[in-house]
Amino acid sequence: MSTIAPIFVSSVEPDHRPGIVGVARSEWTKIRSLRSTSWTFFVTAVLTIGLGALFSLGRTSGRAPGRDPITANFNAAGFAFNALFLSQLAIGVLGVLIITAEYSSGMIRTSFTAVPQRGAVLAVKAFIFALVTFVISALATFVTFFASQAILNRGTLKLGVSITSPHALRIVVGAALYLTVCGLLGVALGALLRSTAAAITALAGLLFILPILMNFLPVSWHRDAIAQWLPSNAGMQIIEKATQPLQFSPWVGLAVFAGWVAVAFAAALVLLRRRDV
Amino acid sequence: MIETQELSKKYGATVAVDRLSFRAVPGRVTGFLGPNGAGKSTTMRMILGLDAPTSGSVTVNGTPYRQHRYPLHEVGALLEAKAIHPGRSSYNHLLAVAQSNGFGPRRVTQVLELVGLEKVANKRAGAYSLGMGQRLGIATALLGDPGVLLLDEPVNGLDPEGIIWVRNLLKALAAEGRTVFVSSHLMAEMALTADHLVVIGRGRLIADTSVADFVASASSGRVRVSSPDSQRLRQLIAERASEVSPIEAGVDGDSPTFTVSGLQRSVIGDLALQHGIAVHELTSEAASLEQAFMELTADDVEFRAQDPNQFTQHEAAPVAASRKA
Repeated sequence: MSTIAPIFVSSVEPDHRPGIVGVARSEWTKIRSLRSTSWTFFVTAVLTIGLGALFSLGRTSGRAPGRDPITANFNAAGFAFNALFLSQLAIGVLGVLIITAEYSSGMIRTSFTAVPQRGAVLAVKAFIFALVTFVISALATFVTFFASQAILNRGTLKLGVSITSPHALRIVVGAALYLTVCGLLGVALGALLRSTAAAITALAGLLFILPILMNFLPVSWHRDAIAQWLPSNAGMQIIEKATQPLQFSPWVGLAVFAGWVAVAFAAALVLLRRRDV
Repeated sequence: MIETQELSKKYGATVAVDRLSFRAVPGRVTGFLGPNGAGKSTTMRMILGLDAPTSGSVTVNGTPYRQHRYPLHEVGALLEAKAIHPGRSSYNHLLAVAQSNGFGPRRVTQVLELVGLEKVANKRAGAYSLGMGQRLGIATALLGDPGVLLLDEPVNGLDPEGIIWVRNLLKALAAEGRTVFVSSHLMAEMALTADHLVVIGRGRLIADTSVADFVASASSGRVRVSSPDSQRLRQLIAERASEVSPIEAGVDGDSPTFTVSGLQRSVIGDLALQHGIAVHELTSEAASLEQAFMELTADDVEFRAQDPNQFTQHEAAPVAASRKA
């Protein structure tokens, strides 16, 4: 070139100092700007409330005092949350999608070009998703609790309890935490496997199929000792009134579940740093 | 400034990029040329720190890409058009990318206007044409007003008006002192856009040169001569030139023509004047960038179709045979 090129000076300055807060803003924009994401949150909430109410209705209909073999052990506060077995899948799939959709569209390259600290992107994405999931899940579980108690209190049976009764608050908040951990399990599996189909299969396998398989193992294989460690088994102890036989106590169970997810996340972070995008 | 040194990438036994060393400097458009499968996109991903080199190194502004913390202010990239969630609007897509590096809605609106997408900014990107996707990709690359731009096949899928727009944009960006590194397999487009060429084939560097030199290096040096008295002129030239082709009859009333190697146009013209022979055409057969490229990469094309003539002969033969029978 014969002419000397001018030294380029950018005239556009960032509005904020670039940093982790900016990455959080970015991930929040990604979550709120997809209609499919809002719908899946909505479906999770509807499944939780609707099925919880239905279960409660089923428990009370056709029963009358004396004819109902209710024991003192009936878990009125947590009964409706047996319905989480379905909503856990909805929120888990959403967790998978918020990361695998970036891989399938190619958006992940833009994300990692904008912020080359890949671990930070994944961590912030998971954090923002967990926050939104917990808020929506908590709204859903509180509504479920009050709807469920109203149904259980119908007629003459009066099975319902109040939110101030022992363990009730822990169960309601714990159910929301359980859903949040399910969502994070989806994120971790999605980041690990990078394919929507593979990650959803793994998610369903862990949450659904593994517990069923366990039932068919010989007891002599320490089946019960192993079964209590299964992710969904351990996690669901949080909706129990008291520690169940051959199971972890509620908080320990949830911690075991969260531990599994943490292991999956650690593996995903290591691979994220090493693999080509 | 982009600088690669002995950059290599292997996938198992396949060598995608082979000890590639080049520099893309500020103030000019550097065209990155190569046939499909030559390793252009792999190189671009390595520059951006998305793929790790097997060996060698690459820096952008003197630093390996992944050591840049929030790099959009320094480097902008377009890797593939429509690398965007189909359900998200281009406004929200750009906003998410902008926010990650501290930019806000103000800048998003600016780049949307710059690429002419402001009217469809709130439409789902899934409904975009390839051309609109390219514009959105260019908008993304420009978000941080960076001094270094990497664009992988930016004119793919654009209409003629869009191609001219990209060409002028790239030239203007380089004129502001930016480093513009743009890959393409379209030689003609690069001839019009780029100042400098980095040509690769099968992952290896074939040429690192200015566009003019690249064409000159592959020029035939032949001169085409047309005259109503071709016989006599050819005779005269043949005594002096190294190679003269047979005379071809003129088409549509044109004079007969032949080509000469190893003699300059001026010499031929003077010779004709001395002998009073009229000359109707006297042109240098400059090789196009396309020809130069084909010649240089002839041995380095990974996927090559069969020669179409050969192909039709093979196909035609059995048909002819069956007709006879």
